Amino acid sequence: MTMECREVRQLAEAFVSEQLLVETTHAIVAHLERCPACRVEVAGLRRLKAAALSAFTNTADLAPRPEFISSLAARLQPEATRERLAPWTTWLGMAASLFLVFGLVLGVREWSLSNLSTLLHAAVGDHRFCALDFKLAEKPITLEEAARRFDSVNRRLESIEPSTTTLSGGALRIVERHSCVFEGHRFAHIVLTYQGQVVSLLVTTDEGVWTVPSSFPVTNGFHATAIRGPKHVAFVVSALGDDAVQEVAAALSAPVTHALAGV
Amino acid sequence: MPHADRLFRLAMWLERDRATAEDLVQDTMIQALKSFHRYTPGTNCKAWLVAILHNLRSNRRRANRRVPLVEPDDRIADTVPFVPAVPAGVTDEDFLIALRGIPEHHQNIILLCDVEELTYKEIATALKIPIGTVMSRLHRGRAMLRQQLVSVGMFESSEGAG
Repeated sequence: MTMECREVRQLAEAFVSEQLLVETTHAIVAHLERCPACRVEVAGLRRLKAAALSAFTNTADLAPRPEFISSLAARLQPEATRERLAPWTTWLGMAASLFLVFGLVLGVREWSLSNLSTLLHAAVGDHRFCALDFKLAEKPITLEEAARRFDSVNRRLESIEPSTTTLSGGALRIVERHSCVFEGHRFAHIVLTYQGQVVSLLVTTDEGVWTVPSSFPVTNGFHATAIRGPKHVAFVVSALGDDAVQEVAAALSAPVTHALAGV
Repeated sequence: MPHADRLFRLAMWLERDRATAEDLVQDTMIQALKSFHRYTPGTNCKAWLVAILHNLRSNRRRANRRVPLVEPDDRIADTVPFVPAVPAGVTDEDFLIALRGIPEHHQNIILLCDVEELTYKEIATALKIPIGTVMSRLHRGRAMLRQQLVSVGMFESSEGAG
């Protein structure tokens, strides 16, 4: 599908807000590669969005008082308990209610595992459409830009290297680093090669409370495992077998853990 | 507490008064606890909380009758004669001054889309308006915001943003 400037201008705002279907987004990216005028327009819209985010995140006058947050937690604790005791409350509702306040009860695990499954599918999709098929909806940006605009952890991921580059199946090499978006999830994406196959390390934000399962189910033909950080999760995804994926993850575990912890 | 900071910033912007904003956020969280059985796990929790916050705020304004609750007339904003380029180097203060310069219902949608990063559908649900209205208000709001940003830059306003 090719697009003209008029169509791109009509869809530019939805494109910048990542609200479009993958096919439409891809068509816009293709148009932008050959149209400097539309690139300027889209860059302007991105500046507007970045300015909004910056103003609301950084303006001290809009920030809550720390005492308010702590008093709110104290105020909500009895409410959560009362909700737990209410006769109509289901087990899941009760646990989830407490999660809203503390984020530490049984309901979190239920919610987090559901969230984890969503993130796993997004990571596998990103590996497939970005690293293998080059059909990503939105053009990737550098990790440095992602660090400036979204999350400083990207800057630390810019320089990590596997703890060992010689594994049982041969050399493990990093061939590409960038930040990309798939299905609304932004990933720091490090592309590696091992045994002649592409392996993706995909890092995204996640504050769920869960421990890394011993293995993930095979998802759309890809094996995956995860490395947990305090506020992020890193997936290692490849069509290689589970043993090879675990081996790559082991080589990445220490540097990625340190990067996610800000060490 | 997840989302408390962002919810407060949104409430503070809407209410322009710290005590009122704190009340609104507290009531939002209490309401969320009471109706958590209606929350669908796996959906956007922040969007759900934003919907509760807006609903509570609308109910309060209706009850207090301080502000007449008329449906915004989008025709007022229909004519945006010229949409200038987005200036480079916009400061946080410039942005907030410019945002205050456009109608509130356009401010809300820009914030929910660009700051809270809700989908059009989530915004439509939170504000109880059709998705087409979300898209048209966003478009008009951004056009007016761009005009305001140019004005703010030209006059180098030194007014506060609050």
